[in-house]
Amino acid sequence: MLAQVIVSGLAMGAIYALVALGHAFVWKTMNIVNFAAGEFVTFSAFIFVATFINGFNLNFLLAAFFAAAVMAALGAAFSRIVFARLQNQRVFVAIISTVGFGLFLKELARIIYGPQPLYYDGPFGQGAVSLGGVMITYQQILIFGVAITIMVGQYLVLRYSMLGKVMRATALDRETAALMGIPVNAVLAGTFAYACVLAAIAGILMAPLFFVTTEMGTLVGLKGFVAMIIGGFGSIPGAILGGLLLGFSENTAAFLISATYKDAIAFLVLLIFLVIRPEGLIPEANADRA
Amino acid sequence: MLATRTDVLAESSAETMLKVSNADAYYGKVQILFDMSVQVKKNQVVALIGANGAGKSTTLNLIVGRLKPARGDVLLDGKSIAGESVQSIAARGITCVPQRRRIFGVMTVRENLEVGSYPRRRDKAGTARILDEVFSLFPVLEKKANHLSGVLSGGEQQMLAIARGLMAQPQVLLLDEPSMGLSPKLTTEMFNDIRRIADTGRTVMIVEQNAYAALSVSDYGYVLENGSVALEGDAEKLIEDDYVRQTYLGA
Repeated sequence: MLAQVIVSGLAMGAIYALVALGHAFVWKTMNIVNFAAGEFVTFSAFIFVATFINGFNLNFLLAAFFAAAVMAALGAAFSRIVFARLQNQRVFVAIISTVGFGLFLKELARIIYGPQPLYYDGPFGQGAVSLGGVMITYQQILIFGVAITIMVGQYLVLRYSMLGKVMRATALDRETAALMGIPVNAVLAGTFAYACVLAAIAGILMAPLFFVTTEMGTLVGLKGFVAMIIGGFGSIPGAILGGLLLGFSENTAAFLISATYKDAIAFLVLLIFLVIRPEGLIPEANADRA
Repeated sequence: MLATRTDVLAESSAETMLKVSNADAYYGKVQILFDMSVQVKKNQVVALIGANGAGKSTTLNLIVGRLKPARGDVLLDGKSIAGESVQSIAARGITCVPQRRRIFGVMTVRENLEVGSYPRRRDKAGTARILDEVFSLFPVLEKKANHLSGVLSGGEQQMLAIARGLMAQPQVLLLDEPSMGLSPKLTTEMFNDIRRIADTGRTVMIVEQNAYAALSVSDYGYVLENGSVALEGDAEKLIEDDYVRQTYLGA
């Protein structure tokens, strides 16, 4: 039974890790925290299920592709329109603007899709396979597969492609990057859009686990933020590890103590980390050397 | 009299690559540059020297596009670039090696060089060629190509900063205070390197407080004071000039 709990905890952890990765990227390149991340999760789940699956009857892959594309466009537009204008303000102003944009997205979802929760079965239905007595649902396998693919792909892009190097250079020193002809604002918008795609994928993967409601992403966005802090502010491997650890510990502790306290446990983990290891599991400076 | 062949060659090699002409510039309401005019001819090394606040950095900011002239113009190869963005000026072929080096410390030496080649990213053959050239100019960079650049010594980091600038295969290479933070010995080596680079057919402008070091490797020099050109001339003549010696060379 405990193994079962751990597997579903890790699956949720993989979703936190995706959101945490988005937070880490945005922090590293733009030095801000995107408090709309949770609402990006929510909104993408809605357009994915209500618009592309139920509305247009698309298959899973196409629907997921379009939902991610819409969220990327939304993120890039927000970055170009709002952040570009706030560049000369204190970063705090940009952070507050993400809170506002989150509220806007949440209410937009309510206006477009109504208050009723949506149900979505997932691309493979609700079946499961048994692995040494532990049941792993198809959806959980999908979550692990997608998360691993994204993390490996992202590592390869950042490490080996010109795009990845340009993103890293921009994150390290915007002014010098501009002197080398790098279109800094476009890179920032692209980074923000990528973080939005990560949140969108989290929403798409989560949709079959819960009912799709306007509140579904809020806590996930925050827990992704918690996962990034646990992993080490702005550290990419840290965000992955932090997400998995958070999902694992909240589920295990909920099982051992009480499910009522599940969300509280996540934030308790944060408190413990802030006291005993405030720099996180893999602090950024070390992570960058890895 | 008929122009001789050498005259023609001298004429064509004296083509102006970069020109700031009669520029006024302001920070807010404060005027910093007054009728500033400097130029760099093709394959020439030009030094801009002067004290703090003389207008060296402002002139540089004007050229790289951080500042727009209120009057006057900035011309690259005869075309006006005044008012363009920093990145589009960089893409046109003016590459600035910034003050304090500003290398990407948590990226490797090779990655720094690759990012430097961004303006020419489609020119794969050219990039491979310039990488070879950079490695033969600075063998230590090839030896440490896979090291994180943050662990290099100060002198090596300055080499990397210049090498990264060369990777863009610039029409004009701007060096902003290359001697900053280097020991006198390293400064001498650095300026010798700059001369070596210039001798391979490159156009260089050095903005530098260390007047002697800069003038001794330059072809031409401008002495800036209070936001305009106080004195200009062949570098070897400026080094001998009494006023320059007393004011800037401490002799």
